[in-house]
Parts: sequence; structure tokens; C-alpha cells
Amino acid sequence: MEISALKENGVWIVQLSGKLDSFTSKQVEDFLLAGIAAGREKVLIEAGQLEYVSSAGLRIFYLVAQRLEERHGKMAFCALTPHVRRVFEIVDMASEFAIHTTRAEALKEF
Amino acid sequence: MKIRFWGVQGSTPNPLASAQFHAKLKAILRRAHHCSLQTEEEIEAFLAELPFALTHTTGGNTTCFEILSSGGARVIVDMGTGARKLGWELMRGEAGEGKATLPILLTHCHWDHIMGFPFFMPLYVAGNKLQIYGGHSYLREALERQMHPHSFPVQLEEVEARVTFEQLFEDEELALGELKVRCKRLQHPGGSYAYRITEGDKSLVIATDAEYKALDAEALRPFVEFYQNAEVLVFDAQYTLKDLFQKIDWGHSSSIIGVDICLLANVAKLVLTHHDPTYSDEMMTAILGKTEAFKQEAMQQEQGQYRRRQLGIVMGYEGLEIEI
Repeated sequence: MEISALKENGVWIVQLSGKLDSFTSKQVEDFLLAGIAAGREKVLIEAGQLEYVSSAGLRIFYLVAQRLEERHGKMAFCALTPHVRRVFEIVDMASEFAIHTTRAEALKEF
Repeated sequence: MKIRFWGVQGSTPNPLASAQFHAKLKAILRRAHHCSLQTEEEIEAFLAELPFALTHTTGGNTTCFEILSSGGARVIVDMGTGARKLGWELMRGEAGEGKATLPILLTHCHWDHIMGFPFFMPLYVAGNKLQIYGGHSYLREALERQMHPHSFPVQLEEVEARVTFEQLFEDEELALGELKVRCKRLQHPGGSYAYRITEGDKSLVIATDAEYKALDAEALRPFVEFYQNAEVLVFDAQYTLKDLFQKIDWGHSSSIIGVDICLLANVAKLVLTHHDPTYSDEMMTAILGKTEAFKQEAMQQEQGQYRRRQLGIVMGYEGLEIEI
């Protein structure tokens, strides 16, 4: 799992690459929660290179969304791979999150 | 070894009502409209094509499982309302003559796991021996309280059978005939215990009433180790994943998490149990389909990285029997 981040138009863009499963979820959880604790309240998960997400990854997305909601922040996704999009649909989470096709499209909505 | 399911509902009994039965009947007749159903074979073929919700109900009774070894040793897990029917069946054998010794493992003492005990007929036959085992120290107290005169007409001290209680501890093995039993504490309000029951080289794990609060490999490791290589994992799948994330600390889990844990633990068959009483059979059919779809996605991506065999997924329902 590789994690990188950048800021653009006040949005914290977190790029996830590889497999987000029980072996890598703690790394992603710690990274995202540290960012939120540091005051980043607009979070865009860019998942174009995210090959795999298990329930451990889905739990983190929910957890992060809840933390942001408590702080009146916002989380969105962009560039989901077909696998990740399919998993979101299977577990009925596609309608729970703002999902955009591209980064540019997502940034307009923050 | 064989497991028979006598009750799979979670939290409270949830019998099928007439209106629900009528709706099923109507849906079946609608599908039968253009089918030829003249012969027994045609009827069977038609039924085989129907979804789970039209041919089954998960059943209204709360948790009770019966495990039988190939040599005839019997262990009962939990005394939910499913135990009432099991009790009547046992009465046709040795229990009806006061000659039965019945080991009973309690996962915990919440109502839905003990409320069938006062209605378990072998309890009222002199000569029967009921051996209650569990990880909690207050097994006797919980069953006595349930049969207090304020709640039930017969008190535990008045029953004809001999009832004994024994606390089990993790890392010790209980031998019941050919069956070897080990327990593992699960995360649930007040604690619940999973049981790993082994005959020869085949194991079955019953792990109901369990929440997995963190899903990273380190947090899951104790459970994955306990479930490792089991032929069957009977798993608390009370909520959809979406509902589960809204019910933190309620002490339950989801079939989707069950799939991931089975993949990590190299389990051959995942059986969903402890169904939420607000979920209909139709919803359970949808959950089964989604769990299967999630498994397909997971196995396709995981590409044999962790596991060495296929994973089957089965909806738990009253009357289900699985040979192990």
C-alpha cells in the first residue's frame, strides 16, 4: 500500500495505491486520522490505483466520514477502479459517499 | 461430525406471520403462472429455481445448535427457543427414559441464548443429566434467575433432571466423547464465547455474538488463529455492513466481515447466523447474494495470496444440517 497526499484548493487529496486490506488498513487509518486531527476537514480519496478494498478498508472510510461529519467536514472519492466501485455497490455504500469520476469534478463540489 | 440448526434468530424470537406467508405464496403462484407443474419432477424443478426467501424461512427461533459426532456423541450449543423443539426430539430417545447425558455449551447468558432452557423437556425427566458448560462464572445464577417464581412456575432446584455447571477456560480442552472442545472469548457486551469443536482432523467453529471492532490483521489475529482451517464457521452476521457501522458496540458483526475472516483463516464454509429480527427472509436472500458477490470480488483480487481452498457461503436456517 502506498499513500501520498497533496493539497489543492484547500482540499486534502489522499492518493491510495495497492491493496487496502487487513494488512494495510492500520497504515491508512493512522494516516487519515492524523490528517483530520491536524485540521484537514475536506478530504478527497483518489483511488485510481487502489486495486482492492476489503471490509477493513470500508470500515476506515466510514470511520473517517464520521469523524469529518463531527467536525462539519466532508469526504469524497474520485477515480474509483471498477473493483472498488463494485465493492461499494455490493455493500450499498455507493450512495453513502460522494463519488466523482475525476479529481477536477470532485474539487468543484467541495 | 454433523451440525443441525434448531434456531438462528438473533436477539428475540421472530416467527413468520400469516401476512408474510401469504406474500410468499402469492409470489410463488405468480412465478408458476406459465409453468407446467403436472408431475412431481416438474414441481421439484420449479421449486429448485426459486430464491431462498420463497422456499425457506430462516425460522423464528433463537440460537440453538446440535452437534453429533460420527460415533453418536452429542453436544448442544445454546439454549435459545430452538431448544424447545430439540428437547421434544430428544424425548423420543434416551432422554424420554431418563437415561440421557446431555452436554450443553452456552456462548453466554443473554436472553436469546437461554430462554429455551425452561422449555427443554429432558430437564423434567428424572435420571437425565444436563451438563452446562460455559466461559462465564455465573451460568447457574443466570439460569436460576430466569426460572425465578416471578418469571416461571418451576424453579431450577425443582426440576427432575440432575443439572451441573462447569466454567470453561481458554487454552484448556474439554473432551466429550470423540468431540474435543476449546473456547475463545469474543467481543460482546458481557463477553461471549466461541467454541471450536473437533472430531479427528476436522473442526467446526461456532462464533456467534461477536463484534470485530478493529479489522486490521493484528486485531483479528487471535480470532483468525482460533478459526484457522475450520471446515465450518458459524458466524454472527446480524447486520448488513452499512447497518453495522451505525451500531458500534452493539456486539455483532456482518457477513461481509465474515468473508474476509474466512479468507484469512482458510475456512471452507461460512454459515450466516444470528439474523436480525427486523430483517425479512427477502432481505436475507439479498444479503446472501451480496455476500456471495463480495466473496467473488475478494477471491478474484486476492488471487490465492492467503488461502488454499474455495469458500462456500450458506444461509443459516432452522432445519439446516451440514455434514463435516
